[in-house]
Amino acid sequence: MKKLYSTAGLAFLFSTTVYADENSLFQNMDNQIALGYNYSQAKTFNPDYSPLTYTTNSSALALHLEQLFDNNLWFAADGSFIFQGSQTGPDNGFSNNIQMLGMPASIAGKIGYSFNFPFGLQIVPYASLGRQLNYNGITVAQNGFVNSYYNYYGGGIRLEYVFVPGASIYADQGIGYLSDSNSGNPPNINQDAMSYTSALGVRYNLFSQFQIAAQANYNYINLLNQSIGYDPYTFNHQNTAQNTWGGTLYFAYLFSPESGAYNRSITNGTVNSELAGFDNNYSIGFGIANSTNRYSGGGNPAIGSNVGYWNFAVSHLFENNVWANLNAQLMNNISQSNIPSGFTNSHVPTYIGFPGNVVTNIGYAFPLSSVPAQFIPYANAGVVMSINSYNIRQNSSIMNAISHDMYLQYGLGGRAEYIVLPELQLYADQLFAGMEDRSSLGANAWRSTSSLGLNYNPWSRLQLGIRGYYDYISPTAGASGSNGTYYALNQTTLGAEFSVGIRY
Amino acid sequence: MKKILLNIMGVAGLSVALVACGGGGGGGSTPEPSPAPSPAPAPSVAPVAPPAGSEPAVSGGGTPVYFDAASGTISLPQTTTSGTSFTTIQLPSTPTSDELIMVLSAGGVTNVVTSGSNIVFQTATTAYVVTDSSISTQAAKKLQAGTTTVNSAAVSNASTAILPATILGQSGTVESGVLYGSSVGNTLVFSPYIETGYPVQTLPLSDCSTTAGTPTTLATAAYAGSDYVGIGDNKGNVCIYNASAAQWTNLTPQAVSHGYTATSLKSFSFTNLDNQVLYGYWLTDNGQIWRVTAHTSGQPITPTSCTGNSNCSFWQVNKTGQQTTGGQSVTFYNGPSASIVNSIYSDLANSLFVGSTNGYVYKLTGPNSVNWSAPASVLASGQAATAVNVSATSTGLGATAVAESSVSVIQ
Repeated sequence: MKKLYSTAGLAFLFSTTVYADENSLFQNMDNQIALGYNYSQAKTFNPDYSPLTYTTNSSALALHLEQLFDNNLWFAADGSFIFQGSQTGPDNGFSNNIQMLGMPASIAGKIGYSFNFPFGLQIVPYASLGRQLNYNGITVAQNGFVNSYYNYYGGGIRLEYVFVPGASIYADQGIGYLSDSNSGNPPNINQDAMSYTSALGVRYNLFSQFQIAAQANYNYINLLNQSIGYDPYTFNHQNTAQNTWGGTLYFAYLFSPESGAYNRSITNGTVNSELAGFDNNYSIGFGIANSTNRYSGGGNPAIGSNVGYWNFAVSHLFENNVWANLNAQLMNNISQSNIPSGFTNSHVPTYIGFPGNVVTNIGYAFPLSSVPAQFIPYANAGVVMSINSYNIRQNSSIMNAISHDMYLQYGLGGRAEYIVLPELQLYADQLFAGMEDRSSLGANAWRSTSSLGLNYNPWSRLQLGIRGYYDYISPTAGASGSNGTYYALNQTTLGAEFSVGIRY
Repeated sequence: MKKILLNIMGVAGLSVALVACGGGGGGGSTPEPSPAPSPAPAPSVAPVAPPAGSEPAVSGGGTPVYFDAASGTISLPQTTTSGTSFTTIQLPSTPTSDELIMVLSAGGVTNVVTSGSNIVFQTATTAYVVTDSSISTQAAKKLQAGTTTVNSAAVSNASTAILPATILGQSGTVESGVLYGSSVGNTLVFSPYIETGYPVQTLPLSDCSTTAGTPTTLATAAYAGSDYVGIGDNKGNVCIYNASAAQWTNLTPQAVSHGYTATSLKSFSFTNLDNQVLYGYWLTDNGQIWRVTAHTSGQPITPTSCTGNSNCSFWQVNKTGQQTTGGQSVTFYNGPSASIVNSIYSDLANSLFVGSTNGYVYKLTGPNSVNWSAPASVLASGQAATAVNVSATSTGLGATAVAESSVSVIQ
């Protein structure tokens, strides 16, 4: 019996030791910030009524963040938004049909535990939480754009096999429940659904800090209430399921221990590393803002908005002082006053920036020699969605609006950071940017964003942030329609953001 | 006119058809059957003989209501467990009753409408409303047996049928009177009973549609806790007024987007399925019968009930063949040609009855049917072909068909 216990104990000790070693093998593949391009084809259909089938081909920007911690805790976040798409079906307008499900954007977080095996196999069961926008002819008509989304609750399992150091294949199977934001409000149609997602991919580390990955995806969504497939009273059919096939190509920056980019603030001790300690982080936050949209003429009162949004940010200060930041926002709620009457105005917000945006900043940090501070001039570029009550009318379909109702933003800014205390950083930021309107409205604009913020590192890798900002957007020309109507596109915003982040 | 709280008197008697967009797809989730099915069995026809010595309330016939000036009575068909026969109502000895008898005798009544426990006799200047419990066994209001009242209200330039109504007046009082559409100002008019002394109130149809024309047809309905007035005009506008919420809903744009060509309306018919679905039929002057189905699951009809969602459908129910709109499709079979449609009525069982121009009645049984019945003749033996008017029965089930002097109950 003694011998048995000794053997078991040695085995446990051995396996624990092996697990710790294997962790770095997987961290070298997993710890990353990735941008990707996704192409998908979705078929939304009614199994009993084929004439209503819609096919949606789309291109999307994909964001992926992943980290395997030393204690085997595993975290990942995935976001995507469609920036271009086309759709074919029986009626491609704003018809009262379910043309697509779970589009055009989504964000989800996964948290799990990694079971590592000595022969390069990693198994990670995880739980997942997220949100998916759900724009179709039923939801936007009965809920409005702002309230057309799913909340996602699910889980899954991920397997990754590192067949040689720096190269792996992986498979992921997720299953989740999509909760329609407007379920339980008859006579609105409830689009609660189950979602099944399978992914198969391969990763390859080109360099110690750079990885490329290719992934094939399959998703199946099935509405829980199949009876909406046919209404015997109105004789209306609706689609109740969707198959989506797609592929994603990722380009990732690795911050694993072996890449040398991991935890530099602790290991290095230089000013750059101190500043990097604050800058090298990813965070999730929630913002609140009060906006006013004024007309460029006429006597209509300004439109007031109270906005809540989710914010996701990743930033990095490289050893060579190059600074990069990626920021994504997804609107959570908006309430507006002084909205002109009418169905469209009540269902589509009059707001620049709905339903979200993705912007990147790349700059170069100039640290001061005498104090722990740096100045970072940077270039700014991004996509600011703007599905609003003006340009929505210019579109022939929802997918057309998704593909065109946006601004391309590009500008220059400057950022000053100062480490007040070892655990406290103060920063100020000023951005000036041009905004090219891609909708047929053609209301180009410029913006100025002034920010003041604090980052606080209370413990270990935890970083808390708070930011206050003032944003001003002004059309470059008078914003009015051909029939003499004026558009409320002069937007001023006062807001605050609160974030929780992890240093890496 | 302030908020109108309508007491819908005898909805079963009123046939206001909201255009049904492409309805009638029985088994719509299955492929269209081939070949087309044979017509459903013809409805049953039970002729009913009016009392001897009585005359039709409208000169020349065409109405199921008869009167006997000598006895001071009016008669109309009523269905009981023992069958259908004319029931005679003794009018009370009042000046208004006497006035009504005189007008009937002089042939001054141009139209008669049965609505719940009421019969409205229409002249060029006055509406006489006879209220009696025996008129309808389905009336929402239970009247004390043996109570018969006759009231009158002034009317002016009425371009539609005249219906009994109760409203919440400006001072919060409940006012009884009549509703009708007027060609003066293209308005909906509430005219209170003369003896009440309340003022006449009007609502412009322009509040519903900027292209509103002269009202041509009027109907009332109760659904999901609200009272509605359906109005059609000579420009084909289809408007619904929620009297409980004082809110207009213009169905015309949605109907047009489903293939409706706006044409002067001839009549309306509302029916209600357990307060979950509201069916509305309307008949145009050129014989199109449209049905709007609003599956609002107990929610009131609002201006957005049928806007850009799946809760409503609009179909032309007498258009034989497949109709497709926005990815939805349905096929109706064996419908009566638009050229022979004279009148429509839908009953409490949500069946639709059509009176033709040549003496026949057609039936579309229930709201889920797509196959019309074979025609059934309602003409008396030897009677020349003539137009058939269909209207309510006393039970609210089936229809009363009148071809000049021939009166029948159709099931």
